[in-house]
Amino acid sequence: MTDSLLSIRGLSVEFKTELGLVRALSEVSFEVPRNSVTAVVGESGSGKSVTSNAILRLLPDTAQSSGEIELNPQDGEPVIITSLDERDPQMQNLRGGLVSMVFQEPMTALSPVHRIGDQVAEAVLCHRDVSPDVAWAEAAAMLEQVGLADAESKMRMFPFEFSGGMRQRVVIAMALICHPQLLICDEPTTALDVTIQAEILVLIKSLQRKLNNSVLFITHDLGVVAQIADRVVVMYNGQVMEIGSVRQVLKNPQHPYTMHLLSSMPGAATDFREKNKNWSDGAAIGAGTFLVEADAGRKIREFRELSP
Amino acid sequence: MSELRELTPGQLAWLKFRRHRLAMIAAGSLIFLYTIAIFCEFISPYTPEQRNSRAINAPPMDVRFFDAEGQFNFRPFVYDLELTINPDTWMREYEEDASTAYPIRFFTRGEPYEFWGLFEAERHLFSVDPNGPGYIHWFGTDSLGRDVFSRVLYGARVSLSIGVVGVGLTLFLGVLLGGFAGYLGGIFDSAVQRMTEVLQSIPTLPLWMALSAALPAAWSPITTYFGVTIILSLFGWTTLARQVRGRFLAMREEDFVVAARLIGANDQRVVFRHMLPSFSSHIITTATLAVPAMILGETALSFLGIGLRAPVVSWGVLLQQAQNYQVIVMTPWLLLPGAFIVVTVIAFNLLGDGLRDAADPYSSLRQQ
Amino acid sequence: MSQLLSVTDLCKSFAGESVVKSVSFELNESSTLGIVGESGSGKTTLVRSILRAIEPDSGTVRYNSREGWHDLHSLSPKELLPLRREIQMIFQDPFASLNPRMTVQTILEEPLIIHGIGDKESRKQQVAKMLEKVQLDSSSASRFPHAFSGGQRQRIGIARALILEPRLVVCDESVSALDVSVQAQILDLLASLQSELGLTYLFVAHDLRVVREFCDDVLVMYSGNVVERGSVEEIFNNPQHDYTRLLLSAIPSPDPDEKLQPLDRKSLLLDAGLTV
Repeated sequence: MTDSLLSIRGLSVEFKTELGLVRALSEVSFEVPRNSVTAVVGESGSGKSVTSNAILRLLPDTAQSSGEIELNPQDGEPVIITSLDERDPQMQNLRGGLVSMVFQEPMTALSPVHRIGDQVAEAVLCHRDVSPDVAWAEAAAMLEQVGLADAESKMRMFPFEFSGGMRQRVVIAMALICHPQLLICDEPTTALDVTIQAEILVLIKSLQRKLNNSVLFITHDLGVVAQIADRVVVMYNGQVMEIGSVRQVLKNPQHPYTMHLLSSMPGAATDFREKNKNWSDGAAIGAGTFLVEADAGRKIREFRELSP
Repeated sequence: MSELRELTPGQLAWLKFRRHRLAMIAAGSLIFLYTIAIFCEFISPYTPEQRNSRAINAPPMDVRFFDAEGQFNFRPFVYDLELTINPDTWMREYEEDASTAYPIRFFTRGEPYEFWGLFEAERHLFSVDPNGPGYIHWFGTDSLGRDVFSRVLYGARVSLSIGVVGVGLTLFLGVLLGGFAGYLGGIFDSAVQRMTEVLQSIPTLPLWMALSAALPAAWSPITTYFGVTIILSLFGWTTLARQVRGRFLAMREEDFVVAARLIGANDQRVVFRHMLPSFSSHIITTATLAVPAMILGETALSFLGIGLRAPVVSWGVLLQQAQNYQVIVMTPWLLLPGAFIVVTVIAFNLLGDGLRDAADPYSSLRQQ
Repeated sequence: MSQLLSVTDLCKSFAGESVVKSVSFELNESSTLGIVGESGSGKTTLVRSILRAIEPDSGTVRYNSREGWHDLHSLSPKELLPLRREIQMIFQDPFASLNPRMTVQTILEEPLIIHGIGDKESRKQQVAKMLEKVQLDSSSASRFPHAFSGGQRQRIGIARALILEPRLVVCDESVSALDVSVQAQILDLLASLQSELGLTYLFVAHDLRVVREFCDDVLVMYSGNVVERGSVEEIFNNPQHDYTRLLLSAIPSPDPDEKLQPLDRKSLLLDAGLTV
């Protein structure tokens, strides 16, 4: 237990809707070990993003959750995130300090009206009491690390002058600048072209080794999982199907759903596919989801429905 | 959640609208106000021109169930008003005379009227005994002894309908010109664009005033009414035309519209079967939000004395007659039409908000 | 195998910027041609101009219809109408491509009405038959699109495209928005419909793994140019152009022991030999 950075124990989340409670997560438990990459893989509606949002307490007001999320930082007391008050200073310290997040869409994560350098330096100033010059220098160093050549001049540019891949590098730099112990990446490469995706994956992996932090990587792509993860959590319909090392899960899957996912991969051997084509669980619930807006402009909640 | 699968788009929109509490309340209030406006001859106890010489500038009378002894009466009643002249100010002052009570009777015969100008009737929803000496002025009376309550109801008909008629005209112009501009593009589009820009840059109030001043004073009330409506709509359509044009341009690129073109649908089919139904909900929303502007426009013109004029009764006309400082001090109940305007405008805005949320029940579905 | 489509020197630019630069290719009947490329490669503009949803600046698109060869862009809308029956498209976004205010019955019936096929009763039967073909329940006809999951919606889109019995079907990223397991089902469906109906697919995709599995031939596009063309085996086993090599090196393998080693963009001569 003590060697994991993050433990999720029996996490259940329900969303209130006018049609009653809709369960998004039921009894999800897994650990994120230190100094490694844990991938959570699943299709839409599997609850993988709800899980990552629950860690940073980003769920909408319509959500009711139970269970425990414990963060056990390297050099401090363990924190039960789920029992913290929203205004607790520890929460502020947690978000962007101990834990930070990289989202799918790099354009929306950056403010279009501020210079790149100011935005990255701002992240330093939010959490540490340093002079702006120091923050600027640190930002420059971090941007060099994420592979932006000639960082000093790029820091004076605006996000719209950057390509999608470069923007995602900036977002990663912002997330890493306060040396978080846990970096959550929610589908960070889904919106990117395949060649850029490869570059970003290589970058995240090498930075993780260099900085010795933990990464929780949310994705739907088993190819990405194979390339980045040490451990894999397979989720489906708000439940954990299988947990194991990346080799075990991808080369010797135990759960029929994992086999089904693998056989659905384009290019999977055809006989393997035929064998696992018609996977279904007892309730015959499929991967389709139906989303209805919860509150005007707020988070969405999910309705499950029968698969094709 | 299999129930959701069986719903039509209309039912989905209703589901969303129903969640909007304030909009539901607003919708209820507006239905109430419009019902009153439609049946104003029947609901009001008097006609707007009927004078009561015994109650001039009388304050609102309280409708009571308990008499002076604290006895409960099943039938509500009003007390007679006793008139005294204040010897210092020479002003009329009224005091309730608890010795004479006039019970309120329902569906009584009263002043005859023509319902919608169609057939004659003399039943009123409520009044006091028409043959006796009693009277009821729930909102008080004006300086000529006319019942303010009845006048507010008659005014509601004019003010509320001018909003709807005006917006109807606005919609017609806006959708027609905006739609063609968006669909045809080219010179026609530029022409409409420039025209809206010019019209939007002109300060409306002076122009309204100029145009209303040009309406011949000899016109009958009904012609003036339509004249004012047309003046208001002539400047209202520009905003709507712009929105329609913008949506047309955006929707032309939507996948399902492209799909319709690819299966060989002609322009007419694409526009009327696919594009118009998809933004009819937005048009309804925009129209709802445009009604208050019309009502306020009418009020402003009438208040300035250049819109509708007496004997037409509208809320603006009523306010125009309450246009001096004495009113605020001496007969504040003459300002009651203003309260009705405020309520109506707020209700329309809230309703528009709710409709906007419900208008596109799919917006959230596409964001997946 | 006879030729179905021939594109010569197709060019299109938006606001002075060249998006498709002199593209030529041919397409044989009952085959599947994949068009791959990253965002900005011009692949979507290319297929939309083949469909005449976009007017190209220059070049010709010739189509071998049942009545002989036609130059698609010189036809009047009236002359084009019968050809619309033969060329159809399946869209990327199953949410946006179906009119939310129409029932499935109306959506599928509309092409038949436009082309004056059958009466009310026979159209109803045809819709039911089509729903069966795409493996949807016959009760689906009375529902609205929002009642369906992404995969089911894509099946409706396929049914709409196929109800006119087309010969050429353009799939513009038709499976990219779907979950992998749904994606596999839709690809299976498309493949079985192809062998049943003898369809020709023009398959636009950015996911090379899907193209490798689904297509016979591949056209690799990069910044508006076709940089390489060949059979799937040739392209994937023996890529000639640096850009194709870069793309292939970036595919993440589901085998954790095959490490991702993307080529370095800067070391490649991506723009060598391209027309400007």
